[in-house]
Amino acid sequence: MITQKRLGLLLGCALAASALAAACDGGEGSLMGRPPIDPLATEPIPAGTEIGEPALRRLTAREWETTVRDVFGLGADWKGPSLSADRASEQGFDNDAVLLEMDESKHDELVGAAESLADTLVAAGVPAKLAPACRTAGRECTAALVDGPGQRLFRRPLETEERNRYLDVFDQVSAKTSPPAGVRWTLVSLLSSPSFLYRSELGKPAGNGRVVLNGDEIASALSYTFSGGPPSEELIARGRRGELSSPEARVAEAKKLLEGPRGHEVLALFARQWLHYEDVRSIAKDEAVVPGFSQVRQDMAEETRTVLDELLFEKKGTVRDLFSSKATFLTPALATHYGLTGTGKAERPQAIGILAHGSILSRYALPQASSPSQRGAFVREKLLCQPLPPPPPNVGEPPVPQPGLTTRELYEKIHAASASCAGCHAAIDPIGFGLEHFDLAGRFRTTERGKPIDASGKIAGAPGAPTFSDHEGLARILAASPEVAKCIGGLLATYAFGTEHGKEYTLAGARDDLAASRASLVDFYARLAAAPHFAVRKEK
Amino acid sequence: MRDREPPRVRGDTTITMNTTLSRRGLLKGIAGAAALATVIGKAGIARAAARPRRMVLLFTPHGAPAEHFWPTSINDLSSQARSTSILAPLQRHARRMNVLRGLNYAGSDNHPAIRDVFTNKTGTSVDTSIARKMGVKPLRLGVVPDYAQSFTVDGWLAFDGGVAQAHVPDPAKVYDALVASMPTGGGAPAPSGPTAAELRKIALAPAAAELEALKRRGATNIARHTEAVRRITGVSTPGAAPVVTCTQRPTFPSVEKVRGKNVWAAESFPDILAAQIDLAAFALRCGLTRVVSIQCGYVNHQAPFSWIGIGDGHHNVSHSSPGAAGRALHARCQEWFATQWAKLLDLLETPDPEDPGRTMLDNTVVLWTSEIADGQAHNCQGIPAVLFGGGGGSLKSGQVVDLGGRSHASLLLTLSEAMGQSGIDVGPGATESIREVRA
Repeated sequence: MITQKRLGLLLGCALAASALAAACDGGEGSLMGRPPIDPLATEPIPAGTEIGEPALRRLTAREWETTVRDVFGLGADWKGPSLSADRASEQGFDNDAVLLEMDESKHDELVGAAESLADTLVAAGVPAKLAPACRTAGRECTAALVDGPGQRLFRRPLETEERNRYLDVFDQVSAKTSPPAGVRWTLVSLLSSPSFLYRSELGKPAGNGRVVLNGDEIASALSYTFSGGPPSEELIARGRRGELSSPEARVAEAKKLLEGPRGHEVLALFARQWLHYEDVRSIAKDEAVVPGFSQVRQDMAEETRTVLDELLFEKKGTVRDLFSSKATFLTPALATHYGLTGTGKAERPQAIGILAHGSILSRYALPQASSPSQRGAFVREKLLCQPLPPPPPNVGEPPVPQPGLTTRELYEKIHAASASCAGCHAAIDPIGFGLEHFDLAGRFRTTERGKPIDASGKIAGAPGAPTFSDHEGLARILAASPEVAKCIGGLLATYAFGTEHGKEYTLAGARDDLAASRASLVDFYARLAAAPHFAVRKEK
Repeated sequence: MRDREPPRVRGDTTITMNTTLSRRGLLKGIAGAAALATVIGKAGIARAAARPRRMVLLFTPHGAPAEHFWPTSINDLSSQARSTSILAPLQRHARRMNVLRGLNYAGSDNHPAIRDVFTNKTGTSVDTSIARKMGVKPLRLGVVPDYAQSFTVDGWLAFDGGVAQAHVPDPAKVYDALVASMPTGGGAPAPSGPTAAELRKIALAPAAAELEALKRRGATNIARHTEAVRRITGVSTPGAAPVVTCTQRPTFPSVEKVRGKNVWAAESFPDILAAQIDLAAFALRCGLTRVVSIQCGYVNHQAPFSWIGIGDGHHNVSHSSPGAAGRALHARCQEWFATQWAKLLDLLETPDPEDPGRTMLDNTVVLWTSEIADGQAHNCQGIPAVLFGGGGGSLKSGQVVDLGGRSHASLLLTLSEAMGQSGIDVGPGATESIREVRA
């Protein structure tokens, strides 16, 4: 375990070493003439792979919280900051660098959160726990906080001039008020710093049209991408020693980070934001149609979370497994709801993976009935990455169940009858019909209103316009579809890189292996770390 | 239930003082401002026997493009069209919101619907009738509420017995009337030592320097951050929230900024709205009224939103020649309003001086709506409507509610109930308030 003090020394030595190296390499004041180009800057970019531009990425609200929890050792007794949710991208991810803008409102909110946290830290005596000098609030304490937690917040050492600025905050405030207030406001200052609030991927121009990220930046990028939080002291040190420059080293580190609890949470968050399955927790169903739905909806979300975690990490599942697994996770109430037996890890008869999960089937349904339109749109948008145009402004209310008509008959009657509806619904309803064996709350059924379920359908516009006879057929098509694998791989890359361009940064080999189910989803995600974008950028 | 708790006795001397001020002085102060004849009633707010109730009505014209307005979930106010999500700036207040989808103006259409927004054809708007039953007069604040210097049918939003009531467009006049009887100093002792704003300014100085360094390194997305820091660290902080007391005249930089300016000039729009928001919160906080409405623009309102880089007039933009780009432009205008309402809500989400332990917003119902549903279609089915606040314990919140084409009369009834007033005529179309939002 490296202590805060040792980290300071490590980083300080590394800083000095890098300054020396810069001088020897021919930076300003160089004794050696023209500097050699950083080897990273001249590595060829594999064909079919892009690198992006330098960037400054604001921490998401979640990353902000994870970082301060790590740095200050905060436990469950701290309830977390009062920060509003970050805007989600069209794909549903809240870490899109473009949307994570810092406007006046967000800035004021973050400063407010900084002040609130500073109060919490001071009240709980955290400074004294982190730095013995803080047994007395004073300049020495402030210096220790800047050198310890301050460096960890910044994920890099502070330059002397920067360090002095924070000490100056203490000096000014304590002169006007008191030393404890000086410490408090210095903490506010550190927590309001752009060096904390942004992940720097600005790098340094190499002189050949490329920009090379430094070791601190690579360490941070790896840590936030694969563990959702700040880099450990060890990882920072590795970055500064240049040990994260090679793709192999980065992938190995990514795998290690993913194996930890936070790594699991990174992919759990991806699944939540991709599938929106957690929405089921607050969805209401007509009690007359689904009695007791509110008692099982939490269990449904938990089923999906648990099954996906097992599929991803224990079974090293592939895209194919997402749509062919029988795995479920049942509470007694959920087993009763589904009409299944067993509790805990169990299997359901249908081998269609997440398509059988109550969380998803209920989320993409109406309060009183299933919705082939919503489910079809789910497949189009979430599994095939085919955005649909928004409904027209004058779109009416969803079809209301009618006596004597199955849901399918109702949708066929209403949507086919209107030319303006038929255009879009012909592309989505026939997919959604494939899940009609599952009602609005994910319960399996063979009949509806006394008539046998017709779950046949087709995926219009897909290569070969595949047809299916029921949910099993639909799932088989999706499991084997290169388009689905490409979509999911692209979404994982979008999420990892925090930009819709993420898929362009992915190495072709990783994409191919995912599509052919040669790579598991977790392995694919880890292999994103091999992308050159993690270390180099193109100059703006 | 919070709204059934025993009545609280206000022990705050500030409010007691204010009540006295209201009774003795406010009318006198207002008397000189003929345009403000409707501002404050014969008495300020008498000591409440139960939780205080306040109402704010926010009107913006031209509706909203549906795909940019309606969120799928209160936890993520992003709309289906992600490029601009009108409600997203209100995310931090999401748990205090009810997004009401599926409300219609029955029997109203297009521009004339402005006259039905708060009246539903009764001839008297709910701000008038509710305030009257409470024994106060409503405070009506305008932001370019009509064509310059005019009071045309296009700007008729509030009514009393069939007679249109003007929203006052000049914040300085409103302010002068509100504070006419307040002492200019010597009320509360001046706080000793530096203020939090002064210390914050010191604490943000390193951020300013680091932003400069990042800019030199090529960061291109920090201009707004830099501006936000500059606002705090600058010599003057015109945007900073003023210290509001109810015992002596507060100073509102936002009001002083527009004093003497042409309040009908399109480019003044943001500054006037900022001032009116400060005054709305001030009047409610200090018990100078219980009912406030802010009218932004009017039907056919054509101010170009130049402050967010939109050169075409608001009405033109709302009709947004078919196509996603045109509709997105309109969405950006309406999104800007949401950012302003977030600031108003920030001011209300502060301790309620009349109800210690709760915030002003706990005891307020705020409605933001429009006369039009979709700007491009200029129809009146599915109007944008959002409620905020706890309504004195009468409302639950934090939800997107689908009302399936219900008459907006049910919304007016909801406002009446939230204000603790029964027997308000809200016109035809509803016999019940919106049960989905009742606590």
